Amino acid sequence: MTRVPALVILEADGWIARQLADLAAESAWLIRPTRTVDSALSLVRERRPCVLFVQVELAEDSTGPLRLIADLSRELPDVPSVAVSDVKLNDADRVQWAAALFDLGARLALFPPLTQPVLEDAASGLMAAAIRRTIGDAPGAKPSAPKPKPRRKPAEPVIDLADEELHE
Amino acid sequence: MSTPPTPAGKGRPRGSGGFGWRAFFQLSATPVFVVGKGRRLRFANAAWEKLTGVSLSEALGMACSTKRTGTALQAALAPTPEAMAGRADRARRPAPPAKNGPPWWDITFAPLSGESGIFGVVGFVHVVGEPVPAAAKRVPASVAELRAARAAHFSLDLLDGPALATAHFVSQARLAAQVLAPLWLVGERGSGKETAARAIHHSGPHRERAFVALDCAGLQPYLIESALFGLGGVAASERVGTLYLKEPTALPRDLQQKLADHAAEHPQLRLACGSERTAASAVSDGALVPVFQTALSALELRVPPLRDRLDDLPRLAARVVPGRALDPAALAVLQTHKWPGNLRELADVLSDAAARAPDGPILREHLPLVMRVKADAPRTAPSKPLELDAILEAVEKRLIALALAKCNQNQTDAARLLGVFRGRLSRRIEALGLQPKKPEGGAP
Repeated sequence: MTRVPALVILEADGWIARQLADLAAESAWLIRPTRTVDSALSLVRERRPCVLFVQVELAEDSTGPLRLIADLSRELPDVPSVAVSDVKLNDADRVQWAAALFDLGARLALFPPLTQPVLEDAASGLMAAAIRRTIGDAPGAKPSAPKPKPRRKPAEPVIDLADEELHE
Repeated sequence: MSTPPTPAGKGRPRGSGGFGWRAFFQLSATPVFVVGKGRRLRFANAAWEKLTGVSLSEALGMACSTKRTGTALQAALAPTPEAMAGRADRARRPAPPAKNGPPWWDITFAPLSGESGIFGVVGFVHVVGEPVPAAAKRVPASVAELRAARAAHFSLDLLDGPALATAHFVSQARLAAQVLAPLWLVGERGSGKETAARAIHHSGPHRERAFVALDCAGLQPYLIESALFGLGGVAASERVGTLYLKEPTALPRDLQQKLADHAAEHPQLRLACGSERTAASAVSDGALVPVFQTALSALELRVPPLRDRLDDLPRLAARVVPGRALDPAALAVLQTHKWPGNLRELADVLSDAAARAPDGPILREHLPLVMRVKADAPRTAPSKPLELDAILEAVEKRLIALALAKCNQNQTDAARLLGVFRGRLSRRIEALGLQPKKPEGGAP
């Protein structure tokens, strides 16, 4: 029996967890926020479909999250990790960092502007792939890219002209 | 760059009472600039010159608009449509020459309107946000160390093993590592295609560059396109050595074509694809654009499934659960399993077994019950012996009978049909004990 899928989130401020809370609730997934690398590693080692979001600090003295990404892709290559940075970079630095993060084993590197739809799409696509790896595809199923989550348009105010005429 | 002297008599309109507006603005520590009706720069103070690093004499008359051909400075100074319509407005722009912040410029635009409409806009610049320190932007040395350790782990020795299929694959992988030709790795799910691609990359000529792996069936196409070709996309970067696409057949065809075109234009980038089927079969199904097969699967490597490399099991087990011995009885059970999930399944089974027995060797009892029962069960159908002579004799008999029937039992015609001399056919008919039949409607 497959256990409930989980989104493990290593971050300091809880912002990513808040952005993914709605998706997790809709899909009946667990959200496991954590602040330490060790606890994140023990959470992803649990035998369940899992996607790891790591908030990365692009600095010399903070390589813990980067080490986590590297260790994870070596030890548990089936657990995808998404590196999220909130530092705005110019094009050249962004390419440099994105290449470094991918090289360390991240499945996706996200930089500002970070939006909820992008985080949700990344989580849902990678989780679907993780679930497929765990329980397998339906017989004869062909690989296909996941579709972006349909977004509800904000409700437009309805102007009832008849009502306005009544008030005149 | 120096503060321009205040021109005598200039900036003092008639009836102004001697007020020199240019000198007034020059004293301001806030960067100020004036743009005319035609969006051309008419004035900027010394603080503005200091901020932008451009002297007024150079910038005077510069068109301040957001046209694509313009510079970042021109775009940053461009008055908003609201300001040009005569209403005060504020805009946040990335501080040039950067295309994004921080720092930002918060520019307040104050329109100058006359009787005949707007004739200019005054802009006040406030710098917001601290620039990202250069030390934080560069990839630090500690990351390079992490990468080096990782590259050392993914060597071709990682793939090696005593099994014949493995040795064959590793020799092919060694050849693939010496060239930069596009690579197509075929293998069952969980057989280690991505690990093989990474090992080939780290042993190849571009080992100093990055290995970028994208799961085409796990990410929305727009996220893949953005990661490759968007702002700061890695596709055109010289830092990337190998781009590995996991199941490229899941990509939309337009993106496949774009990738193929890009790979053709950037020969320094090696494209590697991993799939459960060959490029040829994916093209024939219509799941892949033909250019992928013709140009991007120059080297096709077949990653052997685990059932074909059971001799590697002890070595693989030592890698999955390091420091834990595998009991011979447990190994015997593992060797009878068919491993449909390949290395992924093996890792799951051994991790579970190691968790059940925290110390000591992994015993038969620690393996899943289903595997143990299957290993114990006698084979339901004992394998039938394959006797080559008997099979060949049966085939020969059948063919001769068929030829005789086709030629109305005429042995000369049947011999011609079978491509042998008539004498040989007669001898074989006799040796095989075939009974000649009477021809239909005639004498034998």
